[in-house]
Amino acid sequence: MMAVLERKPRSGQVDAMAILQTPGLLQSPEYAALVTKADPLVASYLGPTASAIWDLVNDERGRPLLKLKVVDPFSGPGTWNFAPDELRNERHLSSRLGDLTDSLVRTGVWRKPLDDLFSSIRNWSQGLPGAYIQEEPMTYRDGNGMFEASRLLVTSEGLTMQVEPVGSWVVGADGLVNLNGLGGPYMLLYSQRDGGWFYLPDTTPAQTVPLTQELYLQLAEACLHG
Amino acid sequence: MDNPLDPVIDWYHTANDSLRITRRVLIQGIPNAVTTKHSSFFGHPVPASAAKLGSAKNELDRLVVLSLTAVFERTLRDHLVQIPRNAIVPGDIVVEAVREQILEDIEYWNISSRVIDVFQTVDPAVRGLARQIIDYRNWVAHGRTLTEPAPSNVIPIKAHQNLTEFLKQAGIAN
Repeated sequence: MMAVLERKPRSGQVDAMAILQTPGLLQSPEYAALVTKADPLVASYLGPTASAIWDLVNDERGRPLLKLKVVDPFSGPGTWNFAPDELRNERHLSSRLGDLTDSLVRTGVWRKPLDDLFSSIRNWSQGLPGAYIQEEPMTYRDGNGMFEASRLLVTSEGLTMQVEPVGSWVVGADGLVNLNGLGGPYMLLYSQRDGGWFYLPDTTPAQTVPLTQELYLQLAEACLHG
Repeated sequence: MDNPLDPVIDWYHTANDSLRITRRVLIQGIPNAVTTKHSSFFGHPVPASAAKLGSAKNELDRLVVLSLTAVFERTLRDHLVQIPRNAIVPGDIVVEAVREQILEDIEYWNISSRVIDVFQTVDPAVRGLARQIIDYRNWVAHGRTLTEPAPSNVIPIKAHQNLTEFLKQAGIAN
């Protein structure tokens, strides 16, 4: 896990941050007023470099949910749902916002190694027969937030393997990516302490193996062909 | 003592391998391997069956963490109750009554906030990992989909590794 996470409201010119509301939310004066009242606290946690927008949606039981989408240049876009009552309780809201900023920091730290892994996989996949790679958008959960990311689709000899981010918050590691295909899933773990990506075979005792091109190609073949 | 978590991870590997073999059988279309007795798969399209196996694997991963944590918790409590049991010499009715009260109390100590922290010889980072696994266990045990999202991702073999490390550092398991 990341050792240092920022949980405090940020100081500085937080008032400059714009928090918008969708037209759908603006049509509901009660909830629009509720989020407007919460905005200074939200802004104090997010800091001036992020932008945010509130929306009003319903949960699976039709109850109102206030959805906060945050775009942070460091961590990318993420969304968090709040029940209206959560915004009425400042202490609880502060706790949720603390978790939210934890997620942003954690995800931000993970993005770079994730990009590096994808870049390596693009290069290494040239070693697969007739390989081509597509990228498609996806979302993954980190704590209480949903983050937007991409998965890679590696196709070779008519078979496709997904390279899919699972999350940055993994007990005992700093990120998990799965290789899914006819075979697998094969787990790739990121370790900040050890500075790289490792393959974790699904065997006991757990023992990680540094990820190299040779190992990746073996995993990809096994994953593609089952 | 032998590691009490090993039998749990052993059945996990057996079940996990069974799922993998089933997946292989379905994908390779091995003749007569799937019969009418296998109602989850017989007559169903392979992608739908593979998706069912994926869901079953996710459930298996959650349940094994639940089981590992339950055994881990029981092992710690059993270890702790031996301390007052061995320390107090029988013979004095009052002293024995106190011992019984202590033994009863230990059963109610919160695992995360009290039991884990008794083991001061265990590295704080290892204790922290154990707490995170217990949080995940609580999420699974309390009806995961109806409540909050998972507090984190827990990989079964990493959970086994981390909880085993705790038991070793605590001097409970070899």
